[in-house]
Parts: sequence; C-alpha cells; structure tokens
Amino acid sequence: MTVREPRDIGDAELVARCRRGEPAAWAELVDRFERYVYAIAVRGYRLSAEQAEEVFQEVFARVYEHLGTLRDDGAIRPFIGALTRRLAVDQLRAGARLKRLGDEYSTEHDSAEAFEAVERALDVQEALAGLTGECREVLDRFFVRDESYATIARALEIAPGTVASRISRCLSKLAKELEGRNLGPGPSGERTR
Amino acid sequence: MMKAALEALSVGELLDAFGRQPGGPGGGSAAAVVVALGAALVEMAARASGEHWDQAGGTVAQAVALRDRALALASRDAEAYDAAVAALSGGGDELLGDALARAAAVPLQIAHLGVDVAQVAQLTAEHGGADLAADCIVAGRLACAGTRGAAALVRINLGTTAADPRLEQAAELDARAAAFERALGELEG
Repeated sequence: MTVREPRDIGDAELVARCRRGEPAAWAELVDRFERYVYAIAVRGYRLSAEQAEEVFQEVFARVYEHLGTLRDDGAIRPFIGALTRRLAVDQLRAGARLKRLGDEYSTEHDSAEAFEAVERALDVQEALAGLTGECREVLDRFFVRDESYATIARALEIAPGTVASRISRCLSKLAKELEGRNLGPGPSGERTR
Repeated sequence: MMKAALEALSVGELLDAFGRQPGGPGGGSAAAVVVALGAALVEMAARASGEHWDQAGGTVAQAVALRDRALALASRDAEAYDAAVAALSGGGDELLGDALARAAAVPLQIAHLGVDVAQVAQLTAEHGGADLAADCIVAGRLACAGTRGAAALVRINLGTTAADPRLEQAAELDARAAAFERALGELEG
C-alpha cells in the first residue's frame, strides 16, 4: 500500500498523523491553515502584522496542545477558525486598552468594517460546511492554497480540463448556500443583498 | 520607482517602467503582466456571459484570482532578478548560478499561471457569449505567450544546472501552451 504524502490527504487523516507525531504532517497542517489564520486576523479583524503573528503563534501552539482532545478530526478547520477569532478579539481588546478617547470615531468606523468582513468570512465558512467534501477541497486548493489546475487535477485524480468547471459548479453551490442566508457575495464577489 | 508597486501603475507608467532604463522590471515581469491581461479579458467576457452560461460567475471569480496572482508575480520576478544581479556583482559563478536557479522559481510559477488562464479562456470562448469569443481567443493567446516566455526564462536561468527537474516542467508547460494555441486557432474558425 502506498503511503500518501501529507499534502494529498484530507484534514481528518492529517490531524491523525499529526497526533502520531509525524513532523511532515504537522508542517503540512501549518502550511494548509496558515493563510486561513492570517486571513481572519488581518482581513477580518484588521490586526497589525505583529498582532497577527502573535495570533498565528498562539493558534498553532494551542492546536498542538489540543491534538489529543479534538472531538472531530475532520472539523479541524472550524476549530482553528473559532480559535483564531477568539484570539483576534483578545488582541483587539488588548489594543483598545491603549487607545486614547480621541481615537473613538476611527475605532468605531474601522470596527464596523472589520466586523462586516468577519461576518462575511463566517458566512462563507458556514456555507462551505454545507458543501460536499469534494467541493470544499477544490475551492480550498484553488482559492486558499493558490494551487494550479494541474496540481489540483493530480491531487484529485481528475482531468485537468475539468478543474475550472468543477470550481465554477462548486462556487455556484456556495453562492446558493449564501443566498439562503441572504447575506453573501455571489461568485463574482458582488454582494447579493 | 518601487517595483513592488507595478500593479498600481497606469499603462503609460508601466510601459515607462519597462522601457526607460535597464535594472527595471524585465522579461519575467512582462510575461506575468501579459498573463494578467489575458485573465482580465477572460473576466470581462465571463461577466458579460452571465445570462446564458451558468458557470460565468465561477469563471469570473477564477479569472480575478489568476489575474491577482499574476500581478503579484510581476513584482516578485523583478525582485528575484535583482537578487541574481546582486549575486553577479558580488560573487563568483557558483553564487550566480545559485541565484539564477532561485530566480527560475518565479518564471515557472508564471508559466503555470499562463496555462491556467489559457484554460479558462478556452472554456469561456466555447461557452460564453458568441460575440465575446474573439476577446477570449486574444486572452488565451496572450496567456500562452506569457507561459512560453516564462518557460524560456526558466531554461535560460537554469542553463548551468541541467539536472534541475524544473527544466522538464518548463518544457511540459511550453508544450501545453502550444497545444492551447492550436485549440484556440481552431476556435477562430
């Protein structure tokens, strides 16, 4: 039996391998979710680079600590997402304590934008959970990991010429999930509300 | 001028950045910009095809992602090439060889992106609005040109390291771009 490379396996198996202490699996887990964590911290909560780095370090330290107590290995993404949001809020609170009253307006303004972005990110995350694993994976590989069609085709064992169509179909499903919530962006990134 | 801000320049400023003096952005960045142009044309054609193509929205999203990646690589290629030039002035042939080998990584990514843009261009030419097929064919041909130019850079930069597997990848991407060019030629009718 061939042992698959960590980059070619699903989240649940990856977590299981991390728990068994495979260094390559842990490296892949960090690589797989690094951009996700930074996206929430920087785009969602508008944290500075330094704050985002602190969140990043703390998130993966805690993930490592909790590897043995996760209830669902396949749900590592929502676990990391929730953890990142909690730690990002902690960072904002810590930063807010240092702000002067004169910053109140801009803080309020920035917060509104930040929370709108977070709201959208959470909607997308919830909507993704409503898709098949196949759809989640192809969207993750293309939009989060920036993989080429050829790489995706090899990993999913499908014809390279069908990858773009599959992504489009999955985005349509994602858009329908989001429309069901009456909040989200269409596949082109335009808000439907 | 900061090369990292290539994506913020007007067309005129961009051409000035390429043309005015050596040491500015070079062939790799130009290949990336051409790929980005192709992606932008696909984006436009897909946006205008929404009424009669159910995958138009998804294609727009992919084209936007590919365009952004290509533009980011345009700046990164200039930085990688600068590092190679610095090695040329500061070290021996071995150091230069290493720097050029590292500089080949970015053109290889550009070549990959070009093939992907050609793929969505062909898809949009086949399924999008008939009046937009010509734009998609131009988009695909631009993307193929970007891939083939970037693949040439990979070959040139890795000239002294014949065993590097990236040479084979570059040749494969070049061949795929040539295949897309033939397919796009057939769509021209």
